[in-house]
Amino acid sequence: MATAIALHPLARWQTRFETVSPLAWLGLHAAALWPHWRWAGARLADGSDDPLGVAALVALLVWVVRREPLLRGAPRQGWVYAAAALTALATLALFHLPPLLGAVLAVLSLATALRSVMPSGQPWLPVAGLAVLALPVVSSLQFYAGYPLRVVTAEISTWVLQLAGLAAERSGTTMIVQGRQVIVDAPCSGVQMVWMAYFCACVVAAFSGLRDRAMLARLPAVGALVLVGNVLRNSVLVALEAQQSQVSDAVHQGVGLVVLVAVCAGVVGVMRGGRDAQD
Amino acid sequence: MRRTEPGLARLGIVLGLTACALAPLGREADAGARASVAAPEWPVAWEGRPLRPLALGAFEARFAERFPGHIARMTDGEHTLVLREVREPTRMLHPAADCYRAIGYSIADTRLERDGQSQLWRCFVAERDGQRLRVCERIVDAKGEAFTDASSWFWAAALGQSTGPWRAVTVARAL
Repeated sequence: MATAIALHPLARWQTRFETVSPLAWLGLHAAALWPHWRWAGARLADGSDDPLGVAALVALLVWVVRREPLLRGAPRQGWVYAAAALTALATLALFHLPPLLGAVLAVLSLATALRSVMPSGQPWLPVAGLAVLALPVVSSLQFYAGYPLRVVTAEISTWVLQLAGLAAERSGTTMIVQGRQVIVDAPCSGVQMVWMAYFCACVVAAFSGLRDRAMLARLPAVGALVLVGNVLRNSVLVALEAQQSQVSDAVHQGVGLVVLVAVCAGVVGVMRGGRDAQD
Repeated sequence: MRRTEPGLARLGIVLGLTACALAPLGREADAGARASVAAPEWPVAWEGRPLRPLALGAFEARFAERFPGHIARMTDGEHTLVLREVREPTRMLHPAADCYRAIGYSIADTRLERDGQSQLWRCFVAERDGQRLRVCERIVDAKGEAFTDASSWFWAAALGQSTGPWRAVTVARAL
């Protein structure tokens, strides 16, 4: 009887698919989502977005390669179906949604397929986070979130400068400090700082084995660190601009770099804190 | 409840993945679906000098096929103007720096500047193969209110604080 089933072509294919390796399984999912990778590659190649996503992609690949011996030969069916459903949604998104939203569905589908072959207890949230950060999101974040972030930053900076005894008020993203007009411009939105902070959070959580629930509980602290850092940077630069005719690019870059390093160090500290959260 | 055979389930998934991989091949270009709003009246002079129209470059022409509005390229002999007009807030009205990066320029020295009429512009230097351009841009709404960055324009337009049509003016001159 068994021989008769094995001879049937469908049964032969069925047997073959039972022995597909986890990486080959992920490769099949990735291949089905090819239009999204082509779009992301074109965005990366044409230089219209910051290439920060390459760092997230490298971190993700290193994580997968290092965990490869632990991956399950038999994927969990529930996660397999979820990944398949997300792949179908990502394919439909090609026809109905902007490319970036479709690509987010695509990377979530791939991350879900990875979840289906990951052993129990491994962190998945930072892996999914790295997959999203690997996409060319910075330019779109700047477009959609840049202005709201600058308004929030300018408002809190106004309070900070008032507390420091300076005459400060805000209108939109323009601040009047000591009678001098200072515009909180696009680079002050902190979008790149947001990307770097969440990248650090995902890398530390993924490689230290931080549980998903613990990571989720710490993400608000990451957001708060970014906000504090951006307000601090903006307040210092606006105060300098209000007192000098022109603040040099080197000072802008220097203050930005120091604050960025401090924020990233804070994020690493937050993610590494608490021994019970690691597996 | 009877569980599906793992091999059979995988076969079904692989067939589904194959369908997903093949489906985009049948996608047709949506170029003809854009609203056929009449082209706007473009300016005939720039700072007192007459403008003459230029053909769109290859990159601009490709972009214009998907652009939900109108694009014109003109020159007064010294400056090159690219005008983009839209009637709805859209991500496609992105900063000029993104376009210049996309065609291989490096961007530096970005700053806000006021012109002779105290109008605020976002300006930067674009450089490629030894060619340096000073590029300035702003977005102006139907009431003459201007925006120097796409994000603040998008939110003002989306929240009804600015009325269209909106025109993005990008002015480039060789350095």
